[in-house]
Amino acid sequence: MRAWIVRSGMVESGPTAHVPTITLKTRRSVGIKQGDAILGSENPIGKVRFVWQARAGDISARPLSELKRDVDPNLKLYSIQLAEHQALEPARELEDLQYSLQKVWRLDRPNLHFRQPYTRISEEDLGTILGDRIFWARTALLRFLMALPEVLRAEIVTEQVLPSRVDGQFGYRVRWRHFRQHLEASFLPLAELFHGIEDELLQLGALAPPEAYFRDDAEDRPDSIREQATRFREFAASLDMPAQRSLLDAIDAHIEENSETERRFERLFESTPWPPAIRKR
Amino acid sequence: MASGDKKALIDAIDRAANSLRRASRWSGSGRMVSIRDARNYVFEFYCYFRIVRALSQAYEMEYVPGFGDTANCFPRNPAGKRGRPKYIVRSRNGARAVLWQLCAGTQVRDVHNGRRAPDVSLQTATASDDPLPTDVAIIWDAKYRGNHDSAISDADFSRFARLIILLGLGSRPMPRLRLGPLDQLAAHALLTNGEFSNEPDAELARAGFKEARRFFPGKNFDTRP
Repeated sequence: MRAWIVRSGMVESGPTAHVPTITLKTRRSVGIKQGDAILGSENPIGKVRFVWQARAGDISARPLSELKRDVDPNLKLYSIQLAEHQALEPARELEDLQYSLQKVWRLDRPNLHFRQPYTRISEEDLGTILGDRIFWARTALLRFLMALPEVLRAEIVTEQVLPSRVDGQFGYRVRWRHFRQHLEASFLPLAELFHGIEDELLQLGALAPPEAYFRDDAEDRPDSIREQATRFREFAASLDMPAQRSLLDAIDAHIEENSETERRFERLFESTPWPPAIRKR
Repeated sequence: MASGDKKALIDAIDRAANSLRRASRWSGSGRMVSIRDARNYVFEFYCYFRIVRALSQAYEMEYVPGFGDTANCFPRNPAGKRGRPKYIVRSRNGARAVLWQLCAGTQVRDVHNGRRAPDVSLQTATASDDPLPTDVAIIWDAKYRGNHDSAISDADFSRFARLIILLGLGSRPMPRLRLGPLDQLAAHALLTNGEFSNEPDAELARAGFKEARRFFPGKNFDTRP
């Protein structure tokens, strides 16, 4: 069995179709075979979500030129009937699952992987989507890494904060732990420092500079110190969760609680290289 | 795991990552913010304002912007004093005489006419924009340690000791400065979020400066000797 994603904008189900059917117009030879698993995707702007699952039933293909005049004789129309067609409730969002799918290596634009009318995915990815399973260690690590400026990201990846080689020795859980330590050792003290500055300025009241920037020379754009303090305050606040638990602890707890799924994912991604966005410098 | 829980955690990770995206870039220049910034100038700036606030208890403090492109801009790297903001320290009595100027990261002349940039310097009321060593009254240097348990390094200690010599500060009497909550620091001093250097107190006394450790928001600092 193979697994596919098709853009379900193309499903026909109406008075003319007794069974839900998808049609694909293509010059390529479509590899979908009877019995293959198919997931339907919707692609609203900027998003991809998986909304139904089915098995491929009868498949027929004929040249489009039989139906229409003046078309490329190589264009074929595939009709794939869907068996066991059922909605996925809730729909699975790519943005939730993107770091858990082997298919997705374009971390900056994951939607591109699902732009084609149909795309093959691994059986493992199929299971991940159907089970709505999240690889927490990888999701947290890559989501945070991708938020950082590229140079800083490359530094963190290369300068031993994160072992960059995938050799089975360093799983994502270990890497996440390294990254968490880095976050706590470098960004949280900066947040505290800016909080301290904000506090001093606040206490100074009218004596504080009405505006304060860092700037070396005229070529350098001025950087507002208060604005940066606000940004760091927001970052620190975003790590707070209800019930006095920090987000970082909550992530660790999820990794622990789902240790079996995490281990399965670790094996799955063992031989997958770092996505280029993380590797490049 | 309930799918609500899962979604809530993903959303929380997303929010935090987006906040990190903003915090890790300077708002104006877009350059990256890293712990190096803390080491190089953010910690220094924190120390400066803590001193400003301490002085404000006994003195009248007046913020004086510079002018032109740097009117309200503090330097990241050592820069000339001209055009940079500073504070003026005035007496609270009668004529409100200007007693000192408090500068952040700007250069002063050493005894060989070279340029030095103490992180924070208290200068005489009459010091010009190209201050002479004799215009410098007290200096403080900020030493951010990546690890709060790390000590002031031998190199940092020696550099500061040398700066005191190069500015001729050792041979001049220390002005009487009322620093309120930082009164222990009314002296040339190395300020660190980390720990004291490994030098004995006697060496600090000989070199003519103090050290303050755990000088960080939310912590109680202490000083020696």
